[in-house]
Amino acid sequence: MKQFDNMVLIHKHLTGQLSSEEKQAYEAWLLDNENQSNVEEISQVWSKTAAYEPTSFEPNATAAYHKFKNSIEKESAPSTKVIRLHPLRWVARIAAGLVFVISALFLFQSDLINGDKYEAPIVASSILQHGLSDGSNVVLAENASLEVDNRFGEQTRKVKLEGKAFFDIQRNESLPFIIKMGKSELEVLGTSFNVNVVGQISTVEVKSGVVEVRAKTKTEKLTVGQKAVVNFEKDEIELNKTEQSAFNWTKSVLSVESVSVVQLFDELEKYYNVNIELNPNVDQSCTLTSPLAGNSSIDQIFDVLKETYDLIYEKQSNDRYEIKFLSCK
Amino acid sequence: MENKDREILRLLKTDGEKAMEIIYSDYYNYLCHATYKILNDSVTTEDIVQDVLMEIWKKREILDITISLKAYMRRASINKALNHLRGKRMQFEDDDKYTETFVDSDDSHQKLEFNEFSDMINGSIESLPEKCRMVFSMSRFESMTYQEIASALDISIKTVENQISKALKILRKDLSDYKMKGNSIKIS
Repeated sequence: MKQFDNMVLIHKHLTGQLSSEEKQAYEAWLLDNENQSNVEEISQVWSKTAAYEPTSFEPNATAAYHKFKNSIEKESAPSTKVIRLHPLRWVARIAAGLVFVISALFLFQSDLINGDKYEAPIVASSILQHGLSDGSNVVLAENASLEVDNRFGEQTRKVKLEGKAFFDIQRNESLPFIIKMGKSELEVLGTSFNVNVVGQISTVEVKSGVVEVRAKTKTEKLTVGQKAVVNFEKDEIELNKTEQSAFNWTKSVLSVESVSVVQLFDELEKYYNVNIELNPNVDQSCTLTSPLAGNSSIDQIFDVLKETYDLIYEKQSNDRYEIKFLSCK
Repeated sequence: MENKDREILRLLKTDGEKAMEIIYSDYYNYLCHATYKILNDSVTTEDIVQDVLMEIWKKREILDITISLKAYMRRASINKALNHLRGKRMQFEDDDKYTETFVDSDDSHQKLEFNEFSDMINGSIESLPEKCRMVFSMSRFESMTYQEIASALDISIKTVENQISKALKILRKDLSDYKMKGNSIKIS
């Protein structure tokens, strides 16, 4: 016969969790008078512990309220400073032919819901890579629009998105990155993921890290390989698996045109995870167009560049190249 | 839903700051005590309750609560506390091995000296071993089942049973020691 812990049986009896087998064992065990006194003692313990109030902890509601008030005042403090979209390397790398930023007539757009103010939206006429001042990167799909909170990087890391984008967020424990997707929200500390916002329905696919998505009242935490469809109006979050190929669309962003030598080789270094050194004989004033394609190897790229430009390079190892000479004249 | 809750919810949409002031003055301590019973960590408890109230503030325009606001905030705080505990990935296995000897030898549990019964009960719960107190509190104060506790902490039901059993044995012993000193336990 199965052995039961009598203490657990009493507890389950008190909390109404006895299974029929346990109930049988409990009743049999209870026939002994001594056991009945055990039950009485434990029942008494159980009953008396209901009144427990922590003695060693006295929360300070007044201090907590002041802390809360300070933090909302900081958030709502008017800011006249326009945080420029940071001229990071990522921005510098953006191929001119791909970039079409709509500089709206207004500088700020108010978010009526919570008083947030955003810089003029960046609208991608085709795939566009964009660096944010906190070191995070965004790849916007065609027609996607990104608005950056004008206090971005200082008191908040909030952006608004319409359309599809891939985010690679720089980790910052003290300042979560928040993406407003219509009325729903997404919050992360540092991770990478796809977001597609169409009206009030947003789709989130996680490539790395953890992403928290929020509908009206519901919240879900997504991890690597998970996908969520958030319907704000219906307050629904539907979870599914995502495919690794879901992130392939971002690769075409590397089809850069008309970029400087430094930009091009920076891009190649990052894309192929190699080290490329530029010899002083390289003419850095050149503007190049690289035939980058998702499936080409770095060697194939160098071959094409060699045919297109006056290029001499040396492959020093599998992940190390030196550009000995480059001229575009 | 209570009238007071209705009024606070209405205020959240019309005068958010006033509503939050009422929430802090009337519910903050209550939420902290409920959360602390599970966590036994005052700093994390206050952080969690602040987070919950900040979320209420952020969502105040769209908040649609049909149950009591107090119950909603308590549930949100406890859920956050449980997420925090799950994230800590505590190891219970070693505790399980020593469950029996721990209680029987009675050398690890702090000896308690109290005059008032309520103090004895409070002290006895607070001096339970951390994981044991946590599991006991989930059952006692949040009415969580064995299955729910096991899922929340990512441990086996057997481990939950061991911890509950250990807690009850310790509490019974403290109660018995208290009674042996001739103390009354009529205080409710």
